[in-house]
Amino acid sequence: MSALFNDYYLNIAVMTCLWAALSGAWNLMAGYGGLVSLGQSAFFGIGAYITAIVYTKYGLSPWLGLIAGIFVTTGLAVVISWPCFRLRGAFFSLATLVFPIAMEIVANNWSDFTRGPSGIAIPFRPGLDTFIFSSRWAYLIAAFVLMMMVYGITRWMHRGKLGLYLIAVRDDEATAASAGINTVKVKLVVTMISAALTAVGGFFYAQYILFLDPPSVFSIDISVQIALLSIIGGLGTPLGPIVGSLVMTPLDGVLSQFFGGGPRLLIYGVALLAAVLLAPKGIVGTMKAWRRS
Amino acid sequence: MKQLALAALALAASTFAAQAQETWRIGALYPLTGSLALLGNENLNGARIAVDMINEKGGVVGKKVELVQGDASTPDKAQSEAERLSSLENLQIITGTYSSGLSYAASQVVERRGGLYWETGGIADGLTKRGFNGYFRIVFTATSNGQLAANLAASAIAPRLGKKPADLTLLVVHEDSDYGTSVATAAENKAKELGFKVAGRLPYKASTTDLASLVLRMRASGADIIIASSYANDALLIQRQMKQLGVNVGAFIGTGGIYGLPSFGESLGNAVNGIFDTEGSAAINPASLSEEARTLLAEFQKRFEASQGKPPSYVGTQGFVGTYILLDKVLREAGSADPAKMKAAALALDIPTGGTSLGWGVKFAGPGNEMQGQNERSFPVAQQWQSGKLVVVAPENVKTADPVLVPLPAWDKR
Amino acid sequence: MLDILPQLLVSGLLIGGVYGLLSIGLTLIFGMLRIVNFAQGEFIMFAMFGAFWLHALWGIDPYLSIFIITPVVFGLGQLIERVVIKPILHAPHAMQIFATFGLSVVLQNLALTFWGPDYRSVQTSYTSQSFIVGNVAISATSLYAFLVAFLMAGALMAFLQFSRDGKALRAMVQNRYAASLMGVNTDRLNRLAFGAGVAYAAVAGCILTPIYYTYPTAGVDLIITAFVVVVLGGLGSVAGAMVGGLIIGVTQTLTGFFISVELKDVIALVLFILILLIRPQGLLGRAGMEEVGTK
Repeated sequence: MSALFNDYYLNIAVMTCLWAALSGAWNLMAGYGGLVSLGQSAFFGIGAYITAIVYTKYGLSPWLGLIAGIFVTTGLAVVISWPCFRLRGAFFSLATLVFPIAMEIVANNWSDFTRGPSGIAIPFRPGLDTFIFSSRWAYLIAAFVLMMMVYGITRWMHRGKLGLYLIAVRDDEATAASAGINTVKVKLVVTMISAALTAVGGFFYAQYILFLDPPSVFSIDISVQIALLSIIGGLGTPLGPIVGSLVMTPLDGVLSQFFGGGPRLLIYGVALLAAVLLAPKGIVGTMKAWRRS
Repeated sequence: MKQLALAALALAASTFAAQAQETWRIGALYPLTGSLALLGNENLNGARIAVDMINEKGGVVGKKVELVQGDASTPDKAQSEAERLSSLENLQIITGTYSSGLSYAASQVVERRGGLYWETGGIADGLTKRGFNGYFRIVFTATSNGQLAANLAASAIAPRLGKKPADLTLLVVHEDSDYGTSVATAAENKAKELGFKVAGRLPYKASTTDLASLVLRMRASGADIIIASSYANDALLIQRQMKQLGVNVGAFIGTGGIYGLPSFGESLGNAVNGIFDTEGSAAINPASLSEEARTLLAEFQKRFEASQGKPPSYVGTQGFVGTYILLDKVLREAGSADPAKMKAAALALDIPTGGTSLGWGVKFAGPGNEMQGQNERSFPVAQQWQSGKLVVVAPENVKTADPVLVPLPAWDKR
Repeated sequence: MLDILPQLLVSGLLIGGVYGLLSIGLTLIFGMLRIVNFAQGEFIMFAMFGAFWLHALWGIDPYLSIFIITPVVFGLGQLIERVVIKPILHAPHAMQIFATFGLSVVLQNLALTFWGPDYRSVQTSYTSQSFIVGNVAISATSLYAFLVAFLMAGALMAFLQFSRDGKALRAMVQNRYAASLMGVNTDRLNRLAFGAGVAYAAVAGCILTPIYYTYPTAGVDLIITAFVVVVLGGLGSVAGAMVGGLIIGVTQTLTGFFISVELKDVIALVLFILILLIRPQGLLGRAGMEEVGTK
């Protein structure tokens, strides 16, 4: 049994919670609001970079970086919304693709600030003030808390007015507007919340992995992974992202153990296709349908 | 239900571990998928041959060696694979990683667990500036590669062009990743130091689909010498578009990566001759090597060619030499996989220059040194494509040929 | 400095033609099916591998291999349409996006598993050839790509305008329901449209084989600009794809020369955002088009 508390499994548990949290943040926008963003890694990377820069360049506590990251990403969310909200469906998604690419270029070139392509390696100095821990347990607790926070926010929205308005906007924006809902405000609020939560995930990532560079934190793969987990688990449900992450994150780990490279990703891709084609309501959605029938 | 599955996994894993007592288990962490897959796989292929050769000679102190592979395509995968190899598979010795970014992430994990991280490919200077006790890097740094390119321009190319550096214009172009930028910056600084007229340092994205604007800038700058650091597609585009647009230069110096791979030679045909490449060499002058190193190199080249269908590049040879030294010298000396003994054995290594198949010696900078863990006896060499093959043209004691084709003939004559 | 301008313009137009070629299939699929095919790059990549192997094994010239590879990909496309696309035609956008995305991951890693990560290239007598006109050099392979792009675009536009199936397709775009009421077999035409869209990708792949390396992730690098081109030109507009391609090609080359090579790839993004802000339906798209078919 002690093998279960092996660092390897703890690491998988930490990443499962982190991905669930990030995916949950996306689920707010995409599942409830119908805003299928493919650019979440922009917020993630900014959160990670600001944390790393505040800590390594200015010697301040990364917690300050967390707060700064939240401010910057919510500001960016407002800026992004202006051109993108006018677009619908796939257009919106395509537009969101641009922002991580732009951020990556900024990070790569603003070397004085971000150390450019070399990235930032964060020195290992454990402590609550630095949010760096030698024990994976501490990280697990923090990641779990983050995940539950996102879950809590999702449930609050699920029942509340904001959620109701969002779903109305998602399903039929024109009618929602004519019913008196301020559609722009509703979409903006959910985007800002999603951005802020994603930035918190970035902060966590920086202090956990202790290394980041432009291609790794702004990659499209992160944006895809975040979305994938919610889709598999159940888009538009509070438990969806968690279930999706519980299934896929350890699966990825197991696949790494037994398959190398190409075959592993191939299986992953097939799993994605199967989920989309055969169980589009996701695991949670399909189970709910079973229970009802 | 989850618990049962996890328990089953744990049981399976510990069974594996129990069975493996009869072999030395070494972790091998490389990018096998993703954008770095090409060279990550090449590195690993070299490492595998080292293991095969050691095992055929009876292994190390009677036990065979087994490489346990991990795929580290991104820093967080590198971290989790390093975790898997060190925590789950209980490996205290991990080798890798080809890419510096991945090495940063993976070696953190290993250092904290007190293990040994043996880097056979990552060249970022910062990797050996962290004061890690268990991190050993056998290859040279990015800075030394860039500096060599500039030195080559001054010492071998300028005289053959009949001019002094001050009369020559030099331009540095590079893809904007960590590798390209570090090498290019070092080259630019050294070139300035040596008195060249440096027209600039032009970064570009490796994934770009067109470099006509870059090539036209080369011509507009009047560059006599180009130093380039490229990934793959971009290197091919540069050469082809230089030819199509009729841009001629006196000398073109690549700095590793694709410039040393057979596919580069194949894709350009005769036009590749005359292009320089600074990195390590897969075919250093055998006369500069010790008897043992020479024999090992020949054996390695034969096996690589047999299994991969093409001669090894420097990247593959790097994987071979690094892993061979780890097993044959460090592990054998330590006699056990105990990290403390391995580290002591590594620090005690004192192989003179010429003692490894890359022409390097091995002596790691010790604790207290700014570059702790760096192999002080590794060095890049300057090579040139001649008759479709890479030959070493500098430094003097390891070269196999002299530079030719300086200045490069005009495109229509190549 | 002015004497470099003609060369810059020509080079820009040539790469613009290549972009157009890459984008035609993408815009066709979006126009007809309202699906963004995130796997379009992978069809291009597979065609490149096809052309490479035909050349490596039997010495077939990449331009000739178009005639072999395109029909194969067309058939494959129809099969994939039935299995992957048809089920999600009316699904929520997230599903549509991830269906084609999943397809892209599967195709990329099939290539990686079977052919490895190596970079392959094809050399022929004309791979580095160029024509000199005055003081302007024109790359042979890019010129051929340019010509083929316009030919294919023209052929497609003629098909859509004059042929029976083409008219039916256009009717479907305007009002799917009404079209089916008029006897249009939307099912068959969907398959045709998707098959044609990826067949165009196959043509692009063969034409590009002499220009770039062939490797499993080749599609990824090539397709990013295609997305920008398609949005710039107007999703669904074939003429728009060509015009958009040319604009981006010229702008990139000029930016790369006068400002910075690194920034030239950014300029496409800037144009992308500007178009979304100023004229979201694209240059040649119809107003409100960005909302059509999303219900």
